[in-house]
Amino acid sequence: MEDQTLITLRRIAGVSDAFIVDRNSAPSEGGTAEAQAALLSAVVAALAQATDDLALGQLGETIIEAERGSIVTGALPNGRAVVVLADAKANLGMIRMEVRKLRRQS
Amino acid sequence: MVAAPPRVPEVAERAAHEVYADECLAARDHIRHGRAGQSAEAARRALAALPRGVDAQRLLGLALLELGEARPALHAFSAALTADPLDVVSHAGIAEAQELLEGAGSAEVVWLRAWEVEPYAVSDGTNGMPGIGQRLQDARRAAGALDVREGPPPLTRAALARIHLRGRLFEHAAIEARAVLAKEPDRMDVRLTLAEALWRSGESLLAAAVAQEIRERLPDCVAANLLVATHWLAEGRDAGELMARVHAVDPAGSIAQNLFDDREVPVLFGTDALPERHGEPSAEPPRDDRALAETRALSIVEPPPRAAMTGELLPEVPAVAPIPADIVHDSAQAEELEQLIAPELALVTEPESARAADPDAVLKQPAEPVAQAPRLELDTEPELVVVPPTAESTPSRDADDRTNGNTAMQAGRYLDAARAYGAWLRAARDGRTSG
Repeated sequence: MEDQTLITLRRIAGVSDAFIVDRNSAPSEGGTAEAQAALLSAVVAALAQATDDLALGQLGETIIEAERGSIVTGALPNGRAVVVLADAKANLGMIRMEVRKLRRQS
Repeated sequence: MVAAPPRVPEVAERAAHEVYADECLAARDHIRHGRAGQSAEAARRALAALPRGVDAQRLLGLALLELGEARPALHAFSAALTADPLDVVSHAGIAEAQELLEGAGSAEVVWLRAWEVEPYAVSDGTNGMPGIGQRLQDARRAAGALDVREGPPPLTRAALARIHLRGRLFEHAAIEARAVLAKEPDRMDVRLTLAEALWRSGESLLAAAVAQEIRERLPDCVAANLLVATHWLAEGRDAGELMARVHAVDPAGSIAQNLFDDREVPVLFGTDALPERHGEPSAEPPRDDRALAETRALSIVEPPPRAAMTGELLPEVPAVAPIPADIVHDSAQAEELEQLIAPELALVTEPESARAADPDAVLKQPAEPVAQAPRLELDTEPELVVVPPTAESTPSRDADDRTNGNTAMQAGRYLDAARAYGAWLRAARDGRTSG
């Protein structure tokens, strides 16, 4: 089910990548994609820790907007999260919709 | 001996604002209990005290509608809209009046307008009343439209602008609003949405300019006056005239309270800038009377304006890809989109704040590339140096960065892990491009 949703996410115009990250599993040797996933996993973990430290409860969804694109994340159970990298022209509403769908299914 | 009853103050002795608030309260109470005639009378007395009062106009419209006097009701609602173009009750009231006058088929456009103001307001049916979306669909069927599907109406750009605004996607809201205004420049509701989106995104100058355009057409528009007044005050100009107009139209300050965060009102206008509330019920918009629509208050639990946004706004910002027609016509996904506007689930992080959370990554950036990033130690504070990409990156360096990241992750030092993984990513990228 998650794979199907990731495929759907990747098909959205402007989405450059989408994957599930897991803070509990160390990244294996690899190239850019693995490093990217590891970096985003750490970022999501830091945000989750921040919301916890701030007594805001569990992290839900985030949008990090940058000059040339955005990172949309959605927390999943057991320390996992769905992360979507999108360029500046991507429809963030559609991405969030799919992310939320995945969160509901998990 | 029986004490004499306290003398009831004459109407003339009371301040006009007090009379207005009391009569509005009475009008609301009457209509709530089905006494439409008395409600209309009270609303008229309120208007005698403050002829431009938006609450009284709205209440008069509701009462007249209950009495079946559609045309005068329509006039009352239209008057209310000149003060608040985003008042969904007045929009829905006009649509109801239009239906009474000329049948359901003639009200499609006005129902659409009402729905576009609050496309996210979904009736749960518990009050037995169909929501505005359902009324719009019914009007479309009555008008002979053949493409009416079950579920919520297909999204329009004006509706999308409102959804984006509520979902704090202010730039997106501005883009959609501008697209609508390019075709329908007279849409004051959309223009006000644009002004609010600009203001909330920190573009107060642009917001004031748009609000000024609205004031030229609708001088009593409360929100437009407030936005211009905010800008004037920020510039050190006297906004007394604008605020006097606001007080004459919305003495309870309900629109100001909705537009601004509660903390902003006293800051912007002084603690006594807005009149004292004469009892809680009168100060609030007539939420309980909104049998015609979901309460607007739900839409106005807005954040305070953000100090700054990244990137240019319009027209420099790249256009957001419009939602494809096949998607927006899908009722299930339209419902999903409506759910997306729940702001409490979204944590929006700005690039500036991300950098602020990790200033060391900038401060410790070495001027010259270093040969190897130091390892992280679990028991000591790491002195991690971010290594800029170099052509000399090697697989062993990548392994070190990855190991450092893994170690930091296991220790729960996620920012350190992010730095290490970032170094790994840069090295991997550099290796790919240089290779």
